[in-house]
Amino acid sequence: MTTFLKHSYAIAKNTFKEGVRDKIFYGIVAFAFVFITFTIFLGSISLGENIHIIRSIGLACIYLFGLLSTIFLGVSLIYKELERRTLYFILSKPIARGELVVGKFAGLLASIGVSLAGMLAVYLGVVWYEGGGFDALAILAVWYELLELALLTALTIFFSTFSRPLASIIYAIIFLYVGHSLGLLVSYAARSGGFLVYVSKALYYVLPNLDKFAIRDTIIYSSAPTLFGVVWVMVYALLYTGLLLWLSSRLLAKREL
Amino acid sequence: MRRPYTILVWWILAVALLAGIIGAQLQSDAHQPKKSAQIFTYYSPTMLQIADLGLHTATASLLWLGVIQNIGTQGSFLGLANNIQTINALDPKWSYPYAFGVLMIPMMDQDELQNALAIGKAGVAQRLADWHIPFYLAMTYHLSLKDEQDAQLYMTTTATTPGVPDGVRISALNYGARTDLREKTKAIWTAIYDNSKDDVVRQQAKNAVEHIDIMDVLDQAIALYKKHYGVYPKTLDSLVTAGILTETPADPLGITFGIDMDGKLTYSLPKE
Repeated sequence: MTTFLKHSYAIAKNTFKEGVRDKIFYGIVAFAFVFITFTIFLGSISLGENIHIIRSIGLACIYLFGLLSTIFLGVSLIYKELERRTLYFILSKPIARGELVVGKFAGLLASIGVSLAGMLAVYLGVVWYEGGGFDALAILAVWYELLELALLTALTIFFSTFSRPLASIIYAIIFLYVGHSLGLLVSYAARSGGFLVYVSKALYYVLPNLDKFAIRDTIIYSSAPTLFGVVWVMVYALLYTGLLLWLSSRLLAKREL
Repeated sequence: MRRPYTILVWWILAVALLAGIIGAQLQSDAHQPKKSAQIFTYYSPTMLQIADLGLHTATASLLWLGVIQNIGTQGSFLGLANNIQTINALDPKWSYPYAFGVLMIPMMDQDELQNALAIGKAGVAQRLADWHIPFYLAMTYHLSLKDEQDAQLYMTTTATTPGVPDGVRISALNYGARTDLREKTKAIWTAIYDNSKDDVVRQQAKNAVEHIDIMDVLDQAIALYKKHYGVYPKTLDSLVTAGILTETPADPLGITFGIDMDGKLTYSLPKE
C-alpha cells in the first residue's frame, strides 16, 4: 500500500507540474480571471440585480473554465504518453498500471483544484468588492464543482486509454450532457409511462449523474445542503471515480505495450 | 538581409489586406438583411435546461441581461412576457423578474396583460419573501383592469409578506378604505416611489404621481374657471388666458389633456 501511494505520488507530482506548465491551461485560467472580473460590468447593466448576476455567472464561469481544463488536459493524458512512447519508459520501472492511472488522475485533479481555488479567490474578491460580503457558501459550490470535475477527469482518463483525443472529447461531452439531463429524462419518461420509465430509471442510476453536483442554483439563495447530503455526494463521487480509475487501469493492463 | 523596398512592399501588402478585410466587413454589414427588431427571440425553457449543463441561474441571468437591453431598443414588446416566463422557469426563486414583469409589461404592451398577470401570480405562488410581487400584481389589477376585488386580495397578501416596509404595508391596508380611484392610484405609486430600489420603476412611479398631480391641478383650475365665468373652459389655453394657470402643464407620460362639454378632463394617448 505504501509503495502504491509512493509511486502514485511521484507520478502525480510530475503530472501536476506538467499540467500547470501547459500553455492551454494558462490560457484557460487567464481567460477565466478576465471573465469573472467582467461580471462586474454585467452586474452594472442588470437593473440593480448586480450581486445576483455576479454570483450566478461567476460560479458558472468557474465551472465552465474548470470543465474546459479537465476535458482538454484529461483526454490527452494517457494518450500523449502512448504516442510519445514515454509510457514504455515509465512501465519499464516497477510501476503498476493502477499506480500510473491513479497518479495521473491525482496530478491532473490537483492542477484543476489549484485553478479552481484561484478562480474562487477572484470570484470572492469580486462579490466582496460589489458589496455582496463574503460569499462563504460559494466555497461549498466550488467544492461540488471539484467533485464533478474529479469524476469527469476519471471519465476522460478512461476514454483516453482506448481512444484518440478528439474521440475522447466527443465522448466526454456526450456524457456531460447526458449526466446533466438524467433528471429531466426520468421526469419525461414518467409522463410517457410504460417501459421507458424503467429504462430511464436504469440509466439514471447507472450513468454518472452530474446534476448532483450542481448546487450553484440553491447556493445563490443562501440555501445549503445538509451535512448528510454533502457526505453522500462525496461518497458517490468517490465510488464512481474509483470505478472509472479501476476500469482504466484494467483496460491499460490489457493493452499490448 | 532583405532590401528596404522588399520590406516596404510587404508593409504595403499587409496594410492593403487589412484595409480589404475592414472594407469587406463594412460591406457585408451594409448588405445584411434587416433583422426583425420588433420581436424578442423566444427560448424554450426545456431546451435551455437541457443545453445549459445545470447552469440554470446563470442562463436565466444572461437571458435577463439580453431582455433588459432589448427593452431600451425595441419598438414592440411582443415576446417579452414569454422571455420573462422562461427566466422564471429557469430560476424560479429569483423574485425580481416576476416583479418587473407584472408591473412593467402592461405599461409597455397592454396586449400582454394576461401574460403579465400570469407572471405575477406565478411569483406569488412561489411564496418568495418579496412584497414587490403581490403589490405590483395588485397595482396591475387596479390600474389595467380596474378590478378592485383582486387588487384588494393582493394588497392583503402584500401587507402580510415578511419584510414589507411600513409605508407599503399602510398603503396596502388602506387600499379598501380609500374610495376615490385617483387617490388610490396615487397612494400606490407613492409607495412604489418611496420603496423601490429600481431606477426604472422609480422613474415610472415619479411620472405617474406627477401625472395625477397635474390632473388634480387641472380639475381645480377648471372648477375655479366655472366659478368665475359661469361656464366651463373649452380648452386648457383658456385657463392660461384667464390667468388661472401660468402655462399648460406638460404631462410626463406624454398624455395630452383636453376638456369636454361637462368640464371633465379628456385624454389623448401619445402616438408612440
